[in-house]
Amino acid sequence: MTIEEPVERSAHRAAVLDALVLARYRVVQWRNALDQQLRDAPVRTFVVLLLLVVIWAALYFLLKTIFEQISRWELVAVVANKHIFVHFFLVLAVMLAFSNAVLAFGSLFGRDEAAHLLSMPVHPRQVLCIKWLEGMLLSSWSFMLLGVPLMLAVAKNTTVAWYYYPLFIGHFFGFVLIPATFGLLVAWVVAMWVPRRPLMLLLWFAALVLGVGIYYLWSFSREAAQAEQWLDLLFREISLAKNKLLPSTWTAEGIVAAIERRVGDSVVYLLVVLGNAAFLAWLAINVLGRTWAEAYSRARQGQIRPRVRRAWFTAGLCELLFFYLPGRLRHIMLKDLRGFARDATQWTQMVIMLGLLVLYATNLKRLPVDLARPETKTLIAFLNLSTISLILATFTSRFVYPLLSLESQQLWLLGLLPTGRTTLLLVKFLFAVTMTGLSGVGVMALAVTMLELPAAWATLNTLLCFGICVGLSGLSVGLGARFPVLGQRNPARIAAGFGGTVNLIASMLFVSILMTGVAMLALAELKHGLETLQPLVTLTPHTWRVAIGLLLFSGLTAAGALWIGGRHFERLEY
Amino acid sequence: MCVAEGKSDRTSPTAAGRSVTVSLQHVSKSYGTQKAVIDLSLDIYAGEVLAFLGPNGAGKTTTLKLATGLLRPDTGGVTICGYHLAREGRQAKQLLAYIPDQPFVYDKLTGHEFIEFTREMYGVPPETARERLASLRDRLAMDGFLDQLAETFSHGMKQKVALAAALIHDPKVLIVDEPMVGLDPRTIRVTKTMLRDLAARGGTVFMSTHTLEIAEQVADRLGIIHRGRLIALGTLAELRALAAAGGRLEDIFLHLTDGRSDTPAE
Repeated sequence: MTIEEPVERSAHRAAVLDALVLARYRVVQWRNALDQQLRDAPVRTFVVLLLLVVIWAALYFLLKTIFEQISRWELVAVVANKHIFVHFFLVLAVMLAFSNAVLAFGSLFGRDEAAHLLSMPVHPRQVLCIKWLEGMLLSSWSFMLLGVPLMLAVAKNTTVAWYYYPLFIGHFFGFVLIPATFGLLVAWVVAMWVPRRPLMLLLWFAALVLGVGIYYLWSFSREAAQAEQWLDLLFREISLAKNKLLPSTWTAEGIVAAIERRVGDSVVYLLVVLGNAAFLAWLAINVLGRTWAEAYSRARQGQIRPRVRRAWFTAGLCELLFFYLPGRLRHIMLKDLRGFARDATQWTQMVIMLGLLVLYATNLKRLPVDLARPETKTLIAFLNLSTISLILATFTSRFVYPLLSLESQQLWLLGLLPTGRTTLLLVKFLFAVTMTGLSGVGVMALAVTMLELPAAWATLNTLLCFGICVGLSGLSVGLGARFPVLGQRNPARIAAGFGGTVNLIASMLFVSILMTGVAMLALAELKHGLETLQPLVTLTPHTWRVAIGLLLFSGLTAAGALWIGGRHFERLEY
Repeated sequence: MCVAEGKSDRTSPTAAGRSVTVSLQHVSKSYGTQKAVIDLSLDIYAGEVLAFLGPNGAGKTTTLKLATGLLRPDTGGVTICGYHLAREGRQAKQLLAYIPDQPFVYDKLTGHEFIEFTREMYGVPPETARERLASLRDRLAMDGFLDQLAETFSHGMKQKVALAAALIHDPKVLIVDEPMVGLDPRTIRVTKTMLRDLAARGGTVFMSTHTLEIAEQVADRLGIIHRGRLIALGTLAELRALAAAGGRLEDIFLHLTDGRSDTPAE
C-alpha cells in the first residue's frame, strides 16, 4: 500500500477553509479555558470579575469628577473636552501600538505556534487575518475598561442625543484598529530588519516616547507663573497633539461632533477613520502575508544571544550589597541579581518608573506653589511618599511576587541544597528589601532634599519609606510562597494570576493603611507646629510613637506574610 | 565532505531509479557570525529513512528546519518532492509533516481536538482520518489521555499526539527531530515500526537523533554533521569503511567527529 495523494482543493476554497478552521479552533481553545477556569477555580474567577468591576467603577467616577470640574469653567469646557479626547486617544494609540507590537512579535515570530503553523500548508494571509482579529479582541479591553467609563462620564455631564452612544462605540472601535495594525507592522519591521534583541528595542522606543512626553510636559510647566497663564500656555502647547493628520484627532473631532449633535460631521470622521483603518489593515496583511516565512526566519536568526562575558559587575555588586550574608546564601542572591539584570523587561520598567520619579523630584522647585509654607511642604511630602509607595507596590507585585514561582522548575535544585527552605524564603525577602529599599529610599531622600524639609521630618519620611519597602517585600515574597504558580516561566502571567491579584490588593491595602496613618500624623504635627510657630522643625513624642507604630505595623505585615508563605513553602513538593 | 557510495548492509533502497523527495543543494545558514550549516548538499529518496547524527551544536536542528522551510538558507535551495520550498511553499508543505524536538500541541485543546485541527488544515476527509486515528490511537496507546487538555500532558504524551497528528494526513515526507525522547520502550518500538512502515509505503523519513542504537536499527542511511558540515553520508557498512573502524556506530561516530576512537574501560 502506497501513500495516498493529498487532497486537492481550489485555491480560494482552501484559503477560506484555513481561516475558518483556525478561527473555529481558537474558539474551542477559549471555551476549554473558560470551562476549566469555572470548574477548577470558580471563586477565583468571580473575584477577578468583581475586581474588574471595581476598577471600572473607580475609573468612571474619576472621569465623571474630572468632567464635572471642567464644566464649572464654563468658557473653557468646550475646548477642554476636545483636548481631553485628543490626548486620551493619542495616549491610547501609543499604548495600543506598543502593546500590540509586543504581542504580535511574540505571536508571529516568537512562539512555537508560529513554527507549527508555518510548517503546515496554510495560507499566510488567512493566518494573519486571524492573528489581526485576535489583536483587535485583545485591544478591546481598552474599550471596556476606558472607553465605556469615558462615554458614560461625558453623557452624565452633558445632554447627549441617543445617537451619541452608537457613534462613540463606532469611533472607538474604528480608532483601535489603527494603532493595533500599526503595532503589527512595527513587529514585522523589527523581525525583518532589527531581529536582534527585539524586546530591548521596543522598550527603548517606549522609553524614548516617554522621554519626549515628559519633556513636552516640562517645557510648558517651567514657564507658567499664574494659574490663568498656565492654562493658556497649556492649551497652546498641547495644540500640537491636534494635528489634522492624526487618527486621534479624527476620532476626537468625531466624538465631540456627536456630543454637539452634529451627526453628519461625526459620521464623516467615522468614515475617515474606518477607511484609513481598512487600508492599513489591507496593507499590513498583504505585506506580512507575503513575507511572514522570511520574517520568521530572520527573527529566529536574530535570537542567538552573544556570549555573556564574566559578570564581574553583578558579582561585585552582590558582594557589596549582601556582605552580611554567608557566602553560600550570597551566591543564591547573585543568581537572583543576575536574573534581574539580564532580564531587560524587569529593570527597564523599574528604570522608567523611578526615572520619572527622579525627574519629578529634581523639578520640585519649579512647581508653581509656595514651597516655603509648611502646609505645602507637608502636603507635597505626603504626596511624594504616596506616589513612591504605590509605584513600589506595583513593582513588588510585578517582579518580587513571581520570584519563588519562577524557581518552581528547578525547585529540586534549591531544595537539595544544604539550606533550609525558610532560609531560601528569607534570602528572597532580603533581596527584595535591598532592591526596593535602595531605589525607594534613594528617590525619597532626593525628594526630601529638594523640598528642603527639616531634618527630623526628612528622617521620618525616609524611615517610613523604608518601612513600606519592608512591608511590601514581605507581602510579595510571603504571598508568592503561599500562592505559587508552578511550572510557569512568564513572570507577567504569574503576576496576573489569582495569587498575584491578591498580592496586589493586599499591597494596595497595606499602602492605604500606612498612608492614612501618615496623613493623620502629618496633620497632627502640622497643627502642633503652627501653634508653636515651629512647624516640622522638631517632632512631638506622639509623632514618634505613631511613626514607630507604623514601622512596627510594616514589620508585622512582612513577618506575618512570610510566616504564612513559609508554612506553605515548607510543605511544597518538588 | 567524504561520502561513501556503494552497497548497504540491509535491504534498503539504492539511489538508482528512485525519486528524490528531499533535496538540499549547497545550503548554508549563519546566525550572525556563527556558521550553523556550511555548503550542505543532500538528497533523500522515497522509501528511505535517513538519520542525521552529530555532536551538540553541530547543525542538525538547523538543517531540519531548513528542510521544513522554517529557516531560509543564506545560500542554496531546498525542494520537497520537486517543489521549491521558498517559491512553492504551500504545495511542498502539503506533502510534509514536521515534529520538532519540543513537540507543539495547543495547551487548551485536547489531544483529539489537536489531531482534528491538523486533519482539517491538511484537508483529510473525516472518514479516512477516523480509520487512521483508530489505528494510531491503538498503536500509540493514547486512549487514556487523548481527551484531556494538552497542558496536562507529559513530554512523552505530547510526543505521541504530535506523531499521530503528523501521520494523520499520511505525509510523503516526515521530518522529525529527536523522535524517541521521552517515550517508553514499548512506544519506542512502535514508533520505530511506524517510521519503517512509512518508508515501506514509499514515504521518506528525515530524522535527527542522539541515540545511535536507534539510528542503527531504523535508518537506511546515516548522515553525520559536524561543525555545520556533512562529513559522512551512507549506510552503516559504508560508514564503517569510511572510518576504517569496525564495530559499532558509536565508534564510527566518535572517530569521524573527534578523529579518534575511545573504547570505554570495562
